[in-house]
Amino acid sequence: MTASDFTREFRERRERELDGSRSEIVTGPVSDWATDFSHLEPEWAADPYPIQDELRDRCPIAHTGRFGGAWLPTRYEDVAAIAYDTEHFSSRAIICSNFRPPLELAPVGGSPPISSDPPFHQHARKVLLPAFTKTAITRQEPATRALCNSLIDALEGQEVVDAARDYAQHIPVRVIAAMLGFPPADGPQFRVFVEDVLEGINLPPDERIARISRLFEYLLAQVNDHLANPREDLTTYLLNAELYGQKLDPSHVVGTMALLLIAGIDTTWSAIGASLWHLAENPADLGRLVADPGLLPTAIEEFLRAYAPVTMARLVKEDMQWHGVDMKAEDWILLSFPAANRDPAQFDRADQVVIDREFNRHAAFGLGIHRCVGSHLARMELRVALETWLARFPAFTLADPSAVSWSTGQIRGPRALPLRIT
Amino acid sequence: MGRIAGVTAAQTRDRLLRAAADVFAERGYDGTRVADIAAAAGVSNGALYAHFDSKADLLTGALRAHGRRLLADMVAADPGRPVTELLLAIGRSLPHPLDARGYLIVEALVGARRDADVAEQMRCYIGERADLLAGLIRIAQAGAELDPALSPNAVAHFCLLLAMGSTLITPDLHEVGEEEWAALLTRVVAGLAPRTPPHRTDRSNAVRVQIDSQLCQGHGRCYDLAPGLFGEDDDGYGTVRGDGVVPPESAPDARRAVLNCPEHAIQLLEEEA
Repeated sequence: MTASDFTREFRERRERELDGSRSEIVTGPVSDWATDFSHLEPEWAADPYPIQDELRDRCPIAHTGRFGGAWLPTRYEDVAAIAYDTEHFSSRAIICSNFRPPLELAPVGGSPPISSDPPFHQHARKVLLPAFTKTAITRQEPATRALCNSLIDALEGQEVVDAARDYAQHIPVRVIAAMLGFPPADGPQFRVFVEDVLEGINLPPDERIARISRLFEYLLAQVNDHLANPREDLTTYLLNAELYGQKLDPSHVVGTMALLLIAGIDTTWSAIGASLWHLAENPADLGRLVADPGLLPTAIEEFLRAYAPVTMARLVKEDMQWHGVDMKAEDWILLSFPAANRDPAQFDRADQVVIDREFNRHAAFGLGIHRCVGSHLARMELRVALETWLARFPAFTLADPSAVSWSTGQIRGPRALPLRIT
Repeated sequence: MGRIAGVTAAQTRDRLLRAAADVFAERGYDGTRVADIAAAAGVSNGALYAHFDSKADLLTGALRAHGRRLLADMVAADPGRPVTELLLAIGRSLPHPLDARGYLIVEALVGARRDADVAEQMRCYIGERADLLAGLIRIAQAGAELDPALSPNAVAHFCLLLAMGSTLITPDLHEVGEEEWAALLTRVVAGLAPRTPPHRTDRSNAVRVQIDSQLCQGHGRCYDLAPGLFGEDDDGYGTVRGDGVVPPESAPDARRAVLNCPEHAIQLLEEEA
């Protein structure tokens, strides 16, 4: 396919995607979390866990009229049941907003395979899996370690550094840029793309769509460059990949590129940041990990459980009674893996961070067919980032607790994290 | 939500639970007023109700956070330890006196007799404890430590009765010598063992791991934690190495893999002759 055919086909399909339904934008303080929740309010961003715990006791499935109607299950059992039930819950859109893409988008969705439903899903997923096995990801480890060390080299000599902005953020950005074959210097643009897609949920839908288009224009330019100069990277791999004996549709290629770029960045950045935040707040845990680095992989699983960065969304397919609530077709479900991970019915001492927790069936990477395809990559980045940081800065503390800020929306992690490193 | 300046909601909750554990243990459920707990925690009644709906809520919350949790702690400290050894160690410690919070369970059970709210919550709490125990019993059965013919729920119930009984019949009411108690428990546990002792070297009675490929989603916890027993295929799904027979020294790894698989896709099987 020529570059111009690719671009034309992509734009035509994108036009059709924009023909969805829009709901009224409701913002402002929450009156009652059980009936009017919003994961975009500052109180939620600052500390969602007591709210989730309260809802789990009270509801346990909260509702809001915002976003055109949405439900928030808080028990592990309910979150798991929805994750496994692709019959009644669609992944056609996985970011809850005031725009629902057209029904015809299913079962492919805008960013396969995360936006895909069965039976298409498994085929789209199969295309990606070999590139993200643990074995394949191991090849990225030396470069990731070198990157972490060079980021830390640049911090040394300062008393206070922002570990979210100057360290955690750059690691997934550079790693995924290298895997996709994008210029390393484009990293700063990716942060803007991530904000466009995952934050700004309550912007007017048309403005939101215009912002997201900047990402697609960037990806189209990368596709054109790769069509002209094929090379050994994921972009060329996707351009050559076949499904049902044919090359992938341009919208499939670009949608998957968008997924890999966006989903890989904010999430891992959040997980690294939240882990460092915890260690800065809990010197006993920090001391234990510095003395016994062999415990780190176990501690990382606990950080993933307690500070799971990712909440997914689903759309209800048809009106139904579900676990005692009346769900309507096209209602959103916020699939809160963070809330599931703190359910005391599933985890002993669910509200405590137990860094040597040996049995940890947490759901930070999801459950069922949509298990995060990049989980091996995320675990590697998280481990290397923490190993390197702890080796270089074995004693650090929060420089100013009031200056720590957390992202709003479905991905939660520190966006400002000033740490005193000397 | 009511807050103390400079204190996070989680810290307030934590403070309330500690206070609740102490006040309930001291005065019992009926003798405790919610205001006593708020006062002991140094928060207002309003702040308390922002965290807990009811006194019953506080009681079970305190029990979960500060009640006796020997089993969970011991499993966490040494997950590879054989289950029968774990049960024996706990059984031996049962007649030892406890600190005040250890008797919280007594107050909660008494409360459950008189108050429907507490009864409802205690049903959940006891259910969780029983499930944890029954899960361990199943592991012990798969590992040929306990007779697979026994009902895991019945064994769990038996263990719960012993544990709860020990909080009621305290050493000052009736004493038992440590050694004679331990000897009795050893006999009881031996009576729960499989009818014919397993020959681990004999392949016909070996313990094997198995992955249910319908459930596996490629999280990779098995090959992360037990690389000797599991590998990954070209798509990242877990595979069992060789015939899946677990050498005795790998039993802890096998158990770790089973209990960390988010999809519950791994089973331990005892092969029948």
